[in-house]
Amino acid sequence: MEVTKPSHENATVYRKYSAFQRISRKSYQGVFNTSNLRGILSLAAALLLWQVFSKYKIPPLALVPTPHEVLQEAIRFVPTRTFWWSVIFSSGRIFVGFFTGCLLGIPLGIFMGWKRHVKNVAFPVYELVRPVPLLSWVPLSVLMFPLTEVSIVFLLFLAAFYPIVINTILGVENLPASYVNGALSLGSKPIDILWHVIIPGALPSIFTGMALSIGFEWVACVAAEMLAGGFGLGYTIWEAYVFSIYPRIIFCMFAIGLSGYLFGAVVRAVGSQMTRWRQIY
Amino acid sequence: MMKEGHVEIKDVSKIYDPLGVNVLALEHCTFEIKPGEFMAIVGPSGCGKTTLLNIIAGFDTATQGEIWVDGVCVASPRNRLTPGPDRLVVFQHGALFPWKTVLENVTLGPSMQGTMGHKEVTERARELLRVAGLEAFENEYPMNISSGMQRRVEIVRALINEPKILLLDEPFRALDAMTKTVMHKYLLDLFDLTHKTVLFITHDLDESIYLSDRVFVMTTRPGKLKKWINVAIPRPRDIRTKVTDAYFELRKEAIEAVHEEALKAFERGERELAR
Repeated sequence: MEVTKPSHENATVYRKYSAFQRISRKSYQGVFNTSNLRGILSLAAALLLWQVFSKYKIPPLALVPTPHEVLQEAIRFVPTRTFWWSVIFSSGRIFVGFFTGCLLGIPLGIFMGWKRHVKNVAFPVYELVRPVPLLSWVPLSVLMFPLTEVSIVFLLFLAAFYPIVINTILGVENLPASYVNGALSLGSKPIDILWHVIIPGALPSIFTGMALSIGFEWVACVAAEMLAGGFGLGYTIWEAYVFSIYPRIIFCMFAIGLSGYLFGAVVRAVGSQMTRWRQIY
Repeated sequence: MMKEGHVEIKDVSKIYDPLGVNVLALEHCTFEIKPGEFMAIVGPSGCGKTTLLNIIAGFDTATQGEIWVDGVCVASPRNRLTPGPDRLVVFQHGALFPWKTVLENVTLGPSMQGTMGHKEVTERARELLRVAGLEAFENEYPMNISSGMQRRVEIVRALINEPKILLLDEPFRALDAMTKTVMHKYLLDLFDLTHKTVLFITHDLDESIYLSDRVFVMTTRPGKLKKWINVAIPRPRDIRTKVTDAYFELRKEAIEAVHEEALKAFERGERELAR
């Protein structure tokens, strides 16, 4: 049986917008589009909750400074030399650790994924050492290297090395065998296969590993600086705790979060630039 | 000088031994492909077509027998030449590099081998892409073109290397029937242009008769010769070839043989599932 619709139902149906959508729609393409507005609202709500809790001494936040105090501390602390040296030290350590981690991790991962005998030799050692928590390396790292700076960077190197190696291996191993066979059929020498197939094919996975490792880098950095530091954002947090400058602790936490985000954003941007072929139009 | 691309398959057998159970995949295959001939192998799934192709290409070793290309032994149980651009394969599931553009994919072979200069290879690539109707897509990444286009790019990428023999392993398997007929047209055009020796593997009888000069009907596992079909339909062929009497005659001749093997393969598959 054929069902005929009443004529008014065939007319174009206009979407009904809620009041919230009408406000946000005006600048739909701009910064204040619907999804961003939601985010801003939730951030504002969180700040408000925090302010209320710490102002009226409600338990978990009873001793925690209010957002207002943190802001005041930020205004006081940002222009100081201590702050900028902390940022530079932490970032520098992370950069060196991350860079050496990539420098050793990516080639090792590529060869472990590509050549079975390399994996047979190297993987058991890697896999046995990997589950050891980073922090348990701190004493050993101090013993191994005479300079504190080197032992901190060594920890940061490990933090980058593990995720990069494992993701690189997976990236290479997940490449279909037909790519390598196809390249052989086209007359590739091993170096061509490495350059035209293995490396570009594993690149998305390598960048996943790099983005992951940025997160681990900041964890390791703050921990290492608290224990062995001297400078850096982690050390500054510890120092602020010892001297009871509580708003500074929270401000430094924010600074770490922001720096971590920026580092991650740079890695992601470079990654998507280098793997443009993955964008589908 | 004799034309290139003379392939002799001499008494080739292949036994797989994955779990201690000997599986005979190919049994005493002997035939030759003449230079510039388009030969098709038709057979049910799992009959050893791809195995034979892999042995010719150098991805697999024969258990018995030898394969000669232009007077050179490329595969025997004792040694095999590494895969190379003289025996180029177009794979079933496609092996275009998604991180290279169409043009980069096509020019990769000659530039790796160093047989042609950059300018020369680019010109030749554009020429072949034009024949395949792809000149507007040379700067696209494979992910952004249709699967039919991808298969054409892959065939062009193979042909530009001037292989002695082009090995096509069910290249149009994943395409819908309409796209397939268009692919056939482009493949025939490219074949008429280059006249390379081609070995085309398929389980589609129509396709094999339409495209080739000679069809080797293979039995179900272990794969061996069931029937030869000589396709004497003159070239160039086009879609109207498919409604000529000669074409129908050939189909009639072959369809029973192919169907019989398909049934056998199917029954065996059922038995193996039931076990």
